[in-house]
Amino acid sequence: MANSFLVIDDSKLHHQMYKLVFTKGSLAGSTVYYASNGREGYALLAAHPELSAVFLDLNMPEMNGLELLERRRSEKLHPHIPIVLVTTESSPEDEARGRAAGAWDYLRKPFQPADLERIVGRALAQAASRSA
Amino acid sequence: MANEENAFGELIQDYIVECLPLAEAVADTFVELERRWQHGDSGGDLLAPVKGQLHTIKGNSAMMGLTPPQNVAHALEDLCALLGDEPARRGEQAAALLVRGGGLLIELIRGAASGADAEAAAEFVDRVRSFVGARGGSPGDISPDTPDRRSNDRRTGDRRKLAQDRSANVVRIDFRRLDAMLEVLGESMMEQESVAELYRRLSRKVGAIDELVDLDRALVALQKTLKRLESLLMETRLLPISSVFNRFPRLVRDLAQAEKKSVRVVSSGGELPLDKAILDRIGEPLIHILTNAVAHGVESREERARAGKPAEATLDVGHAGLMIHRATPGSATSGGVRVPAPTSI
Repeated sequence: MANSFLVIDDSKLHHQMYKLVFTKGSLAGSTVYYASNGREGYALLAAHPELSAVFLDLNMPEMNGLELLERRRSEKLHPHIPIVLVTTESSPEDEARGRAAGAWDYLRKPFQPADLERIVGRALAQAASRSA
Repeated sequence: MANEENAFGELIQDYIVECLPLAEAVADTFVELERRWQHGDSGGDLLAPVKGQLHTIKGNSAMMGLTPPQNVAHALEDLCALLGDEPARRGEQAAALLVRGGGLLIELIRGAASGADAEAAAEFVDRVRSFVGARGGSPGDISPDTPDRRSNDRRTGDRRKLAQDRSANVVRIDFRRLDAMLEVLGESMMEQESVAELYRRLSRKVGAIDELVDLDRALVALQKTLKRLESLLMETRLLPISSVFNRFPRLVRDLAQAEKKSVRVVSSGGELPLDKAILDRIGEPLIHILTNAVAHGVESREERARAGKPAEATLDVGHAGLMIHRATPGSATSGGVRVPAPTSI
């Protein structure tokens, strides 16, 4: 089955950036869902238990990244899906809060396609080892 | 700029589309902030949301490898943080820095596709560093994603979401392509008219045979369809006149400052749609009118004081006309110089 990803970011520019990475190289053919805020993102997360990974922006309208993580943890929604929190210059305290709320990893902006591919590779490897 | 080398360089137009309105909002806010400070208002409600917009511009610029706008946005972000924390630092110098930075940010983003002035950005960052450095901080310091900034971002995000909802079904198209489409449509209409003329000649020759009646119906239907297409195509060329008006507050602020006057621009009717070709043509004449209005239509601060007028004059810009109010209570601002409406230029 093809890998599938969820991008939750309020920037259309960032959606385009993810699209560039997910349509090239080893990730070409992946299914990618996009949401523009935490609320939409949470609904998509709930609807897609097969997701390989989620890329979640920290600062968003309606429901921010931390709020989404906290809700997901309290509702125990698909805890097997790794969620990567994407931030710009987050403080160590923010990172700690994010990890405590269930962020699987961090991706700091500005990132390069290789950074994204690397983190996806680790998420897929983890999923493979879990199902082995 | 080095965006060609950036992995996301091909998204440069998307970057401009997303960041330019943010930069324009930032620059407008700074002009308004300066005005408020001149009137003893802290403008605290303006300072907070602008930090979120700057943070977004900074992040997007960094992703695109566009260092000059990234550094300018970062410097402005830190300057705003300083001015938020230390109201005593607010003043003429700080306002001038903010306004200059806002204008520079627009220039850098607008010119992102063709290369921009990295030196101007570096010079501005140095100026901010000197200003902020008087306190001991530096624009090079990292501004983390604080919870306060996050709540500001949320407000900014709400506005951005509205814009995104509106733009969800929008595609960008080179205006020259619209011109070409209009030209092709014009040719189609002339060809349709040639066929209609041929029909009329044929009809006179052979009379009302069934096939010609059908041809007539088909020609009338084709004419209607082409008219509909023409009207839709003309609509796609329309832009709100505010796309021209939005340049004025910053421009007038600079002109007024050079003349040692206080002038505020108030625009109305900005939603009026106009063909982009017209908008492209009225921009420069309007700027000329505004320049003259500030230079010759508004009195010096001393003259205004002597006449018992508020120090600040108001320039009302609207599509029905452009005027400086006559000296009447309430809206009294200046000598009452009237200038022609844009349509009569």
